[in-house]
Amino acid sequence: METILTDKNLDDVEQNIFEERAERLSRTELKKWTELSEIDTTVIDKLKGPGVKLLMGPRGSGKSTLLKFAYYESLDSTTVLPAYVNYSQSLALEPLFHSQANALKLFRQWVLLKIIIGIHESVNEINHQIDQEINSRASIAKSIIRDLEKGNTPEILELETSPSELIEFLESVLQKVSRNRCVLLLDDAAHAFSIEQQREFFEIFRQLRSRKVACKAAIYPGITSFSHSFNVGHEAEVIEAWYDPAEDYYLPLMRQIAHKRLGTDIITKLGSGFDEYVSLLALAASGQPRGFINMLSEVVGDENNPKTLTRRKTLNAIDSCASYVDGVFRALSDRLPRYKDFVTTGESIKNIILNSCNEFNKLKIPEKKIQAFGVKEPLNIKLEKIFQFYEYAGIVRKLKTHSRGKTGSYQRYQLHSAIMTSGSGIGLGKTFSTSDLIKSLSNYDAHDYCKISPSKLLKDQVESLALNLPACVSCGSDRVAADQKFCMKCGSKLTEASLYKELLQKPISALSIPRKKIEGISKHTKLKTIEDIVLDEDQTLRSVPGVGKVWSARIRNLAEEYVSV
Amino acid sequence: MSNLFGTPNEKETSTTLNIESCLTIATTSNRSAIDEYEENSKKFIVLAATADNNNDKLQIRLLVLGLVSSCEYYFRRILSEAVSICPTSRNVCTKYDITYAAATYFSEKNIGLALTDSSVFSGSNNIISETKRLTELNVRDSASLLAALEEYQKVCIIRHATVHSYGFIGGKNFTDLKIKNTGHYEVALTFEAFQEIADVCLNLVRAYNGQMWISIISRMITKESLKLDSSLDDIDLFSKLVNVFWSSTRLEKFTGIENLYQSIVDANKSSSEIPIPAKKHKK
Repeated sequence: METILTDKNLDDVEQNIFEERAERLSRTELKKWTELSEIDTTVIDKLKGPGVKLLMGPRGSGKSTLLKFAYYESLDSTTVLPAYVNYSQSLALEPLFHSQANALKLFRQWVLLKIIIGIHESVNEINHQIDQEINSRASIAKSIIRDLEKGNTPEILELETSPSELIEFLESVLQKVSRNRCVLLLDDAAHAFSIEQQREFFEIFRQLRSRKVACKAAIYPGITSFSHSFNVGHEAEVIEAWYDPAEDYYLPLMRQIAHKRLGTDIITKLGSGFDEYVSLLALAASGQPRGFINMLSEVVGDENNPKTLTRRKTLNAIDSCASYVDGVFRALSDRLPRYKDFVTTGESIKNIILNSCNEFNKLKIPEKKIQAFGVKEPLNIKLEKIFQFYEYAGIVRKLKTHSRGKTGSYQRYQLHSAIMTSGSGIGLGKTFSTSDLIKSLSNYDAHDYCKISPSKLLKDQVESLALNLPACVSCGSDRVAADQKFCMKCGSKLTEASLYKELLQKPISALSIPRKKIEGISKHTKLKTIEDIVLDEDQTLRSVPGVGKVWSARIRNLAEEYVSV
Repeated sequence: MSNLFGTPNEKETSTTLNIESCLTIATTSNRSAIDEYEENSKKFIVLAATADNNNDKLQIRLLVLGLVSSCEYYFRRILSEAVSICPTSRNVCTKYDITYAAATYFSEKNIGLALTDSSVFSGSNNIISETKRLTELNVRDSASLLAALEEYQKVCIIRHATVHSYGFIGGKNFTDLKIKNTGHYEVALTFEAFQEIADVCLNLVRAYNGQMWISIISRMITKESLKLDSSLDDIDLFSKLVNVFWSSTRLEKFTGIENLYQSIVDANKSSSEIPIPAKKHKK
């Protein structure tokens, strides 16, 4: 059921046309601006259906959009009661692990109570009379969650639940609203930067199922740690949420999204090259809608006064997209400080791969240029870790292994097209036509790829990689193992600072925003750290020249994202 | 005895234990109970690391006994010393008899230890009940401390098996540990596992120490036995309390007890009362 747009939410709509995060879009906005492919419909059906599912994709691949669609469609059904729950704030609970012996228990309650709130919202959405019990539970749950996310720890929780109690509660709600099944759509469930939280989450996830209740969770590739008793494949079906640019549906779908977001008026003002440039942006987005929308926003600029699209603007937007994806990868060294050297080495390896691809591509005609490379197996476990980080950031997409008989097998990866373009991996040289670039990014011949031996990928450096573990503060001895709790030499407790607090204190320059904007913020405001931006209720950012509605919202989003999963 | 049935083992000999060769005059520590515990814990960690290098699992298992024993001694000290300073606890304890043997054995300074002479702290319930008995404070008021105690209980089961059955887990222990798989288990510890145990013990001591400090000082302020009036007597009483509970590293941050006292006076002036953990009742 489409909601009628009022003047008030029309204003919101205009502010949001370049909002790239589905979880921040209203139901109307999501339906209005999103185009679904047949594959999406199949995935959404699986999300609405029974059975446990893991929706896997890198940042910006459309996981939230799919979950939100499944949510709204389930609401509109008469049989399924959905709950959409977003766990992106999980990192805010991380400091508790440094100060509370019962932190794991509190985290567990946070996960479960958020589901109670989600179900309360759903019952509200379907306009069902909410009974006192659901209201009261949701209200207590909200207050506990607010406290926990602020770092306050109530001595006794006013409401506590377990997976089995929650299932009982959900089934009682089902009965009250006369629906047959409940699907729990758990977004940003990866808790990517705390293995402890991830494992606990999947333990709960495993237990939260019954004949009538099924969980679905969005996770990142490469870096998700499951609990010991959670057997992926056996416990849950993994569904990939990532458009494949090689498929016929891809370009028309992305063009449709652009048309839906911009509307005919803006598109007309953007000039006759619009279709070609949009195709290029879609290919450069490498199947990631968020990247595509961001690039679209950059080339259109001020939507109230759009200027003709140019090749320069388009290529600049592709460069920005590449640096955003690179930035997500680089930020791992802040978010997973133990892997700092892996990230640094990973950046060098990425450049070697790009150079190899450039060499491979440079003499080929555009239609034969490739974006895939294969690394001869077996891969060193440390090199594999770097590739897993690439997958998380979206720098590469893992493809099937290719066996070449006696010459061995190659683990194939598809490089992000914006990175290929921006980093010259495509091998077009300095002067090339837009159509040649489009042709180059359109070849997805699965059998043709650049073969690279692991020995070319900084073999010695990779083998000598070690985790960056802080030494013992008492005696200065190095740590022997990653999970070491005490110094083996002096017996002192080894301490680690709170990651969340450290991230909040990082300078604004840690965000992937243009240098000029960072300089502007430093010059015209007192905002210095990520925390300053997150807490900037007065929208001080808007006082910076060149930072309007769209950019201030984007910078805030980036800051919030920086301290989220 | 008849020799009709053979001799299954070597014959026993006449052996007596010269108890004096096993004992020495104890040196009492001037440091706080928590400082003493942390120092002892470090020694066990280093020994366990060495034992692990030598692949000596038996030694690591025995080190658990030392660690838990050190933990138990922390509880004896902290409770006896708290009783000697906190008027409410002292008042509670006046109703308890102590044996003549204990009274004569412990010096006046250590007489509080006589109160825990027959107490056992190798179990979370014992810690909860002894704290209540001697101080009338309820450990259950702190969720964090309760969580730490729950984990400590697992360590105590490992210790129990090590002390009483050479590391073999008994039926009750097996049930208490909630092990899902069936089979006969014994304690087998690597350095990694020993670290986990040491972490649980240290966590408990830290959680308990912090909670007891807050509970006792807030009760003393409420009952006005600690007035925060900056008088010499008040500062003296405060100093005694700090020496019982504070670790030297934390105290260093205040560069002296007077500064700590002043910071608490100031905090109380601005908030009118020291934060007392509110009791919330489960609905």
